[in-house]
Amino acid sequence: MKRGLLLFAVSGLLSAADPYAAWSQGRPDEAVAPLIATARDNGRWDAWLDAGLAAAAAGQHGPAVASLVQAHNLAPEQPAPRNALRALGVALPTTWCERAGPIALPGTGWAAVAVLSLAGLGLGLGFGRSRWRPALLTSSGVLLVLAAPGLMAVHLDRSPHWAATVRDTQALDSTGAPIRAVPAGTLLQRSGRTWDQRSGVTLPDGQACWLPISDLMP
Amino acid sequence: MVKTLILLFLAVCGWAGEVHLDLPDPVIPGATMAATLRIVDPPANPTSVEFPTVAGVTLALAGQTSQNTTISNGQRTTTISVGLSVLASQRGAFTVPPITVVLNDGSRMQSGETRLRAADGDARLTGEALAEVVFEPDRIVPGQPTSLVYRLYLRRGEVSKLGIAPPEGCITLGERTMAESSTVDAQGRAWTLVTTTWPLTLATPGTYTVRGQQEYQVVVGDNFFNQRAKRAQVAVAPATLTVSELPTTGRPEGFTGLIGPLSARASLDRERVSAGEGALLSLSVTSRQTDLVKRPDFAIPGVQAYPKTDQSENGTRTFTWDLVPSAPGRITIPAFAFPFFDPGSQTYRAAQSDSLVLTVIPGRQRDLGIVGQTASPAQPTTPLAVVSPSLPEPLRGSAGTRPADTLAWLGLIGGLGLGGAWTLVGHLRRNRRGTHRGHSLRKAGRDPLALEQALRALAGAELSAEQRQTQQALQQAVERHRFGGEALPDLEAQIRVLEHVP
Repeated sequence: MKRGLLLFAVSGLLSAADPYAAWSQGRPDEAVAPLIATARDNGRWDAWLDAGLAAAAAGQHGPAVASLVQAHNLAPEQPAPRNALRALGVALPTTWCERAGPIALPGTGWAAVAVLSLAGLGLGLGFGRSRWRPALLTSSGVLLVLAAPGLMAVHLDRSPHWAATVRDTQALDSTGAPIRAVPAGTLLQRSGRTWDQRSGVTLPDGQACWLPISDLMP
Repeated sequence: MVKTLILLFLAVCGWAGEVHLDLPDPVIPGATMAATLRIVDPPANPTSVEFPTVAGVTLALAGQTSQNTTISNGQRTTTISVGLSVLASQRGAFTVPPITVVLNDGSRMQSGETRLRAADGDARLTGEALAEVVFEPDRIVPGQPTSLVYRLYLRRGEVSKLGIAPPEGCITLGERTMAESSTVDAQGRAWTLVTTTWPLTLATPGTYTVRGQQEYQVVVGDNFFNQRAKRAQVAVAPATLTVSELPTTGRPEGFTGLIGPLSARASLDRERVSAGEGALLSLSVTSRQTDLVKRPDFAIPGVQAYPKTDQSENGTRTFTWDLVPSAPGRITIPAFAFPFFDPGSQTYRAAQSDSLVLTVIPGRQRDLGIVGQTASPAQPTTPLAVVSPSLPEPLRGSAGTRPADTLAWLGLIGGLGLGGAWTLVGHLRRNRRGTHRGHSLRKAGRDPLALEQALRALAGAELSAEQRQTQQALQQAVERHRFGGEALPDLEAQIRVLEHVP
């Protein structure tokens, strides 16, 4: 009897510690908060993706879209966040990484680190040594050209500053008066301006307005 | 004949002139008032005007005739304005039949029928200006369109800036429009009326008041030298708009705040498919609030529905699904319903799409008669995987670390530094070691002084026995040449022994 109670308590503790356990047991709503907290702590795109998927499984549209948008912002070259966003009905425009396709690969992730390091080494040697200089500089240039599409695509995909509403809210004008309703999970762009706990955003139809920062993520 | 052909040609070319009768509104009964007959682009000069007979209304030529020509975007427009007088004997509404203008080529032009209203002038029009603003309608529910109409009456003068604006927080539903017309006061004097209209709505219940001060300017002075502009202000009669809460009674489940008008339309790209094939279901919802239209849940037994990306443009939001039926038969796609509030009837209604039928026929089967030698069957082709926009599986931290974007640039800078440092170290090592002594000997050639210098440098090097002997022999040969006058022997063999000494 005691052993059974002990096993029950240990299994309970394990399931509480591992949010994936609750999710796999059909309780994704219990996994959302810990997964979001984990994602906030480590800042990894895959953690945000899992948090978004858990929220989607729990029917929490706003946090789901917002978490997936954060995952997309952190790793625009990864197809999983944008595919998940589109599966949730979010009209995310075609990204530059999608347009570039495999051309972007040398300029993203660890491949970009390796390619640019080699290019830098070649440039350093090429400028300093007269011997092999043309070959070194040419190969460095080729490496830079290879990496350029991916680097530019990632940069351009980050520049819209996507965000999403985590709950149903009201768009406000500059005086704080409500303009219109904005449902949870609306994809919008941050303008970068903040004022009085409000953030300037552009709605999907192009209207510029303000939203409470607490209703936005990331 | 030629004239007729020219007229026919002009008529075919669409260069038909127009005649407009501009009447004051209203015409004061018993007062003779000025009116204008505008003849636009007449094919020939007008010679006379024939007025119709209207009981209770008298029209006659009066005043001056003027001509104005404008060229806009390369198109020339000539307008002849003929001054008229109009006199109404009683109050009421009249219809003035077409007025005929006779041209000097014998052709005729006619105006359209014109409405004339004979009534007392606006008794409110006194002084120099009157400004009023109204909401039409002045009671709405959130999202219901209304118009803010601003009427500015001016006895004379002009306005450079409007004195009011739509209320804060309103949602504009279109462009502001301005129209200018004329009216008369109780004394029959003409006033200019500028009407500005904003189509708008509000999302939040409450009471909204619009008021302000209208500034205008008039030119005073009776001659050129003492004329000056005088600014004046007039208070705008305020208007109030009441935005009431949406009624709670009768509010249907699933109501998302949509305000009518709203329409929904569903369609299939094909009505018959073979089993295993797909059909595209499109659902278009037209509304002023497309952002509030949610994708409806769609599930039918026997059909796998794959939602595609929503599209929203021109006030219509379109949802699409790829439908893949699993078995033959007739599949009925039920109507989609979108509840909305109808401001006209002040009730909740639902916009429904039509119910659709998709007929799924069994997959095609073909019997083949094979003649000739049998062969091994071809490998069956792999069916294409259906790509569905379903959610991916969680990664559970298996994605691996993603380097920061700055790391790539740091790698570039680090590589550049490493390459430079490598080169620098090579240079420093070469400088510390000095010149390659073997190469110096080779470069000296048969120059005795250079040979002497190179051999002196070799003296401090670590040499093998053979190299030491060769160095001493070479030294002696050079000294014999320099101080004994002997010719230098062939040095190639000796230099070859020593040229590798670093």
